[in-house]
Amino acid sequence: MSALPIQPDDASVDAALSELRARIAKHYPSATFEVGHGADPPGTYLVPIIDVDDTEELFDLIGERLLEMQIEERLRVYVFPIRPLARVLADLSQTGSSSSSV
Amino acid sequence: MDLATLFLAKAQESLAGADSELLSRRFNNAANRTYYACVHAAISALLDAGAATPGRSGEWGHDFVQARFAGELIARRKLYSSDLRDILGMTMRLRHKADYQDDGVSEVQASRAVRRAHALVEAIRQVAGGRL
Repeated sequence: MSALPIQPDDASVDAALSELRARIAKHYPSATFEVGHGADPPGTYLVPIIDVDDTEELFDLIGERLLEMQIEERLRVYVFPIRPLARVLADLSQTGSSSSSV
Repeated sequence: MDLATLFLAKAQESLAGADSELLSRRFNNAANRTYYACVHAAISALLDAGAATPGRSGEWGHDFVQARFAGELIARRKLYSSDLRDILGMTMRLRHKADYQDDGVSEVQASRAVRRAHALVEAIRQVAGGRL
């Protein structure tokens, strides 16, 4: 395997994160964000917290641009959206009730 | 058996695991196996196309496989449909949800991922003809 040769500086990563946050916030004004570094895969993680049924819908907004950043600009930036914990637990309770009623 | 065939066989094994987990309604497990099915399938495609060679460690990083598969085989050589451009990213996100987040992978998400992984493996087999 050949390693990707370019290690972008923090400024490129910061700019990418700002751009992605702005795109997401424009469509989901109540979204909140966390940023961190992760190892699987190695890179900088943007974690938007959005209250939606399916977090994958976010990638209709940013998917193409994110791919450009990752492939053409060679930025190790990843977006892992999550839902608020209350929403996750509420959905789990609902699933649990419907399972037990079957 | 060459290396490309070996990785396609791994992909098919993972995909069979994903099918089985989906049928058993274990959606997080299905997402996990789907991701590895896609990565192994993409590695097989890269090897078959002569677009990458394994390093001595034998490891393939996600960013490298995604960049070469989407950038070289889809964007530059146009061997595969652009619909498959984000398949490694999408399945990796679901694996993350399955393996690391408090939220879980839904039936809809798992089913969609497994369906797309089947399309990827089939496309790679078609492009390879009888080689794989």
